Amino acid sequence: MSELQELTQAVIKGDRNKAKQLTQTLLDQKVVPMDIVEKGLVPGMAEVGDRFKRNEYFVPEMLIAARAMKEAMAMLEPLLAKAGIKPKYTAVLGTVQGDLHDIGKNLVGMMWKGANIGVVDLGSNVSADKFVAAVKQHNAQIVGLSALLTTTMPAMKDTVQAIRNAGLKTVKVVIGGAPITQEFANEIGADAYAPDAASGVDVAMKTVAP
Amino acid sequence: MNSRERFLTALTGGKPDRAPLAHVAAMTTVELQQSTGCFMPAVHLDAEQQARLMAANHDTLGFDAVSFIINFFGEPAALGAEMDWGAPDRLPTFKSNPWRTPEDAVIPEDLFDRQPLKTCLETIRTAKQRYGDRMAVLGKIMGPFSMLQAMHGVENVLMELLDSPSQIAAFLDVCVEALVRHANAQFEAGADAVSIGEGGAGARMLSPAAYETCLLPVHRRMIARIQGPTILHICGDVRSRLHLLAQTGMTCFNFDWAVSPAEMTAAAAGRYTVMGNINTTDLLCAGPAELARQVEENLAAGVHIISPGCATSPRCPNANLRALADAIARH
Ligand code: B1M
Repeated sequence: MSELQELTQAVIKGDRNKAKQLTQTLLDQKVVPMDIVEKGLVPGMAEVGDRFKRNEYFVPEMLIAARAMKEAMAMLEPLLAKAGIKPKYTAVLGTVQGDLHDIGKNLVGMMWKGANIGVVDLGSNVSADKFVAAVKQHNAQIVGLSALLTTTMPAMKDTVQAIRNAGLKTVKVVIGGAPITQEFANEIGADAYAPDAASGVDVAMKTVAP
Repeated sequence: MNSRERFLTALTGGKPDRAPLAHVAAMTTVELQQSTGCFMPAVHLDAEQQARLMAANHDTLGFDAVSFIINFFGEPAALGAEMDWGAPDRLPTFKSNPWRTPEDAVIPEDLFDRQPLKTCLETIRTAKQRYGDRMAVLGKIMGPFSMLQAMHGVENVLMELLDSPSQIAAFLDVCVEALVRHANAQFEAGADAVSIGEGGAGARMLSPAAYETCLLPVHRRMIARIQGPTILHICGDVRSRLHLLAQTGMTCFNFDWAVSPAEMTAAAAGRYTVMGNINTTDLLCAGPAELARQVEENLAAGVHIISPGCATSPRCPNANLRALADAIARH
């Protein structure tokens, strides 16, 4: 198995130490940082997402894989920035106002980063105004909204309204969270709904490049 | 049969005159708070007002068995977790995780003199004394895994389940001690049954294998020491571990809409009773006709007790909750 394949396996297993060690070895071997991301880390996170979709992985396995990926990425990010490599798309992501649940949202962010989408994470309990301001400021193509409470679903609707009212016609709104459905997405005028973090990647990509 | 008899008969698998309606997760509407003049968050520390709201769930909404309002976090709040007590339309939640290592996990002697547990026990006593002849009064404790998430942080607990399971086991032992004492104190105060809110072990929070090795033995040990009927609540899609639930020793399982009523009764196979599974999003957003359809589906599948599948939004219209009792009466 090549070191890149081993790195993929380390992410899948959530072995943070091995992931960092292999990333360093690959850098020492002068492998281009973007290749380490695209051929080592990303396939690992994609497999983790698929296993989650297939009910083979659960939240703990996702979390430790995301942690391994994040720690390896932290070693690569300064090098990518230095080389002037920019993500293909920019997404603004957050949990809507009144809602503090952020585990699902964080996993979506991790998967998006893995798919070379730049993520501006606004955190949880984010007001509609903040979403609008961030979309403008970062010139985002995607905005991702998460909600876990039935009580905060109306805040999701308000946020979509605020984005439309602000005249941000081209930004695509992707929504998700346990109580959210495709019907609800249609009802509030969101562009797309993703049932889980792994589908979140395909869904986001399809909305920006159909 | 009065409401209490009906509920207790169904809870233990007997044949009541009709299916009872109950709730274990938080349920109080803004409308009822307005009509009784008892508002969150003050009610969480006021037994008198909380008991009045419980009675309103029976008198106005037609629930046969009712529980006090605070949904989870009673034990963590008493053990030092900082709380956001919420608002009339917002349930409480915690803001800090006081346990870093198992050495921090100590249960004080004066646990029941601490708030909000003191009020919870007083609420049960008051509700039982005043309304106990006409409705069943339910107690509630957190599940140990959910309690630990509040005490030690959700993501920490989930990752340590894989990184250092022995540390999680040590923490869980302490949680169980506090929870068993709390449950038994609630029975002494007059609770007819005690629910165990284990939402933190729900849906995709842990694998069936992790449930079987790390949590099932803890649930079993804890339930064996609780001196009365228990209702375990785990929400979300738990189909992959339905086969393990009978081993917990619980009296009844409260399930949500991620599991269909027919699947649930088939999995229970008479080994425990089941209570569910009205969709709480529909309780907020849909109308009485859809809710009546869900009641019918549960009754047709042989679900013993009708109840919301999870915590309900305080903004649910009374009319939607009332529709559940009406649908049962029409059946
Ligand atoms: C942008 O595009 C996308 C695309 C896909 C997207 C997406 C965005 N966002 C999510 N997805 C999707 O991808 C993810 C991965 O595949 C998935 O994400 P999820 O977020 O669904 O899944 C996560 C990976 C794992 N799931 C979770 O993280 C949620 C787990 C449960 C146990 C849960 C937790 C952990 C917490 N909680 Co809360 N909590 C519960 C949950 C019960 C359960 N068993 O599900 C739920 C959601 N909580 C609930 C409640 C009521 C509450 N909680 C509260 C607090 C908390 C904690 C702080 C303790 C903690 C959150 C910690 C944190 N940092 O996130 C309070 C509210 C706080 C607030 N204002 O937000 C409080 C009010 C507390 C209370 N009194 O009960 C219930 C909601 C009931 C309802 N239907 O409205 C609940 C179902 C539990 C219950 N049984 O009562 C998909 O939905």
